[in-house]
Parts: sequence; C-alpha cells; structure tokens
Amino acid sequence: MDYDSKLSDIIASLPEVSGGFLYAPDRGIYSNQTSGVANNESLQQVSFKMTKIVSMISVHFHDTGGIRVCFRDLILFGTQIEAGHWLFLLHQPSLSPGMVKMTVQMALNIEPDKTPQVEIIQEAVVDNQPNKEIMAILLADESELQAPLTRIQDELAMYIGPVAELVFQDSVEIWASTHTPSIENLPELISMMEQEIDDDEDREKFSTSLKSKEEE
Amino acid sequence: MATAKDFSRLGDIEGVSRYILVRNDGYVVSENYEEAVALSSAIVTSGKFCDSLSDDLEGRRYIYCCVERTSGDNVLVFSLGRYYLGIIKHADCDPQQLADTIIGFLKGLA
Repeated sequence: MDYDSKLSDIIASLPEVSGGFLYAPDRGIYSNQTSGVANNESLQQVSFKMTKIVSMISVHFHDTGGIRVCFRDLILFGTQIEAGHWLFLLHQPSLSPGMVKMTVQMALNIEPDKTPQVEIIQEAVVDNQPNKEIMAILLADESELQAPLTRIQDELAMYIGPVAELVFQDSVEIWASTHTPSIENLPELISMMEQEIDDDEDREKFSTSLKSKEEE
Repeated sequence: MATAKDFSRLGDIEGVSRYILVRNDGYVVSENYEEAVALSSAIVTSGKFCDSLSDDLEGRRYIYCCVERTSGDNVLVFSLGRYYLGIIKHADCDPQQLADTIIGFLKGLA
C-alpha cells in the first residue's frame, strides 16, 4: 500500500490535522509531511520514544493500540499500520480521538476495533510467546550469548536502574528479530542499549566498560 | 506538601479504574492496583520518554500521554517532577475529560 499518499489524503481530509509522518525502525522516517515542524532527526527520536512506550506497556497489557501524547496546543497521535510501520499525525486538541481513528481506519481500510473479547487478549498472549522463547534460548546455560548478554544487562542496570530489565528484554527481542543473534552482532545490540542512556557521560562509560570487559 | 494518603483519593475519581504513583527510581509510592510493581518500570520509562520529547519538539512540554487499548481501559501517564502517575481508566470514560479531572485534582494538591 502507498502509505505516503494515504497520509497525504488523511492530512487533506481533516483541517485540524497539521501534518504527519511515517516511521519504521529499519527505515527511519520515510515520509515527513510536517511542513517543517520538525526535522527527520527529531521525528526519528519522537517515533522511537513513542513506539517504545507502547511496546513497554504492551508487556503488561496485551491489547495495546495507538498512542496519543497531549501538549497544550497539539496532540501527537501514533498508530501501527502494519508490522513495524507506524503512522503519526499532529493535530489540534479540538479534534476528537474517535474522528482521528475513524479517518485513519477508513483511509487505510483497517477494520474498526471490535468489542473487547477474551479471545483477542488470548491471541495477543499467544503472539507474545515466541519473544519469550527467544529470551529463554539466548539466556540458556548452553548458549554462548548467555555470559555477554548477562554482562550487558548488569552494566545497563548501573546506568538506567530498575527499568533495565524491561529495556534489555525489549531491545534483545528487537535485535533478535532484525539480526542473527550472535557474538559478532553484539555491537548492534550494545548500540541499541546506548540509545537508552540519556546522559552522554554515562553512555560513554557504559560503552567503555563493556569494551574493557570484552578485552579481559 | 501532598502525601501518599492524599493520592489514595485518586481511586475515588469517577473514571479511574486503577492508579499507580511511582518515584523515578521505580519505587511505588501509592497504588490501588495489585500488579503495580510489575507495571511501575513501564510507567517510569514512559514518563521519562515523554519528558524528553520536549528536546525533540521545540521545548513543548507534554501534559499527559495515553496508550490506547482495545478494551478501552487506556493507560494515562502524567509527570509530577520526580514522580510519575499512571492511571488505568474505565473503558466507558472519556479520556480527555478524565485527564482534565486528574489535572484539577493534582493542582488541588499543589
């Protein structure tokens, strides 16, 4: 589907929508129709953070959908349009969430949300199982990755504290789905972890510490 | 200065199904949710990510963040300085209206 033109259609059909953009972790921002509100680098950060929030909440609740971040004069709405691809809209607070959702669903031919059912939650739980299995395999006693992964998690905990386990698990799952989990590909995982550390100095220490332990 | 007991009144607000108040190190200060500890780190990280959006969006400060759920029991996150407040709303409640009520409640505590 040509999401770029669909995004243009959505923006054109709702006057309260001032812009939008499309994001996928492997492509970054691949359509920026925000009329200069923000550059691709900033939008990349925004997308990364918002998708991460949904991902973290979905560890606890298996029926998560879109996300809205409300500012005084602006609402930033994001929804997943296909595996890993997200559509974001910037709109005025006067526009109702229901109208936004309906317009997006119509434009992308997505079936409207059904009444919540137990089955939906069960499906989500089942979908989540492979990720848990990946973690179990990678951290098994016989896995060559067990020791380095544990070291990375412990190191990460020193810099971001109690959320390290959650962030670590989430990052490993993404890493394992985009790279072959191996010692050779660990630098990519470490690079993902570095993005989770806000403080520049701490990020540097994290990286240096892991390198020095590798050399030992 | 507001105490944890003051926050316990959040549970009485119409539309609030569950609430969880977490310190930025993950310590749960007040809650009425049996799985609060399990959810706490996600609330803190979500709040921190939202706080940092101001770096990306020309200094705009977020008011609240809402993660939608199919069940309608959406999760709202507010930043309160060193603390983060997570609200799980009732499915039949308007999120914007509830957010306004919560903001009014928080201002009343200040």
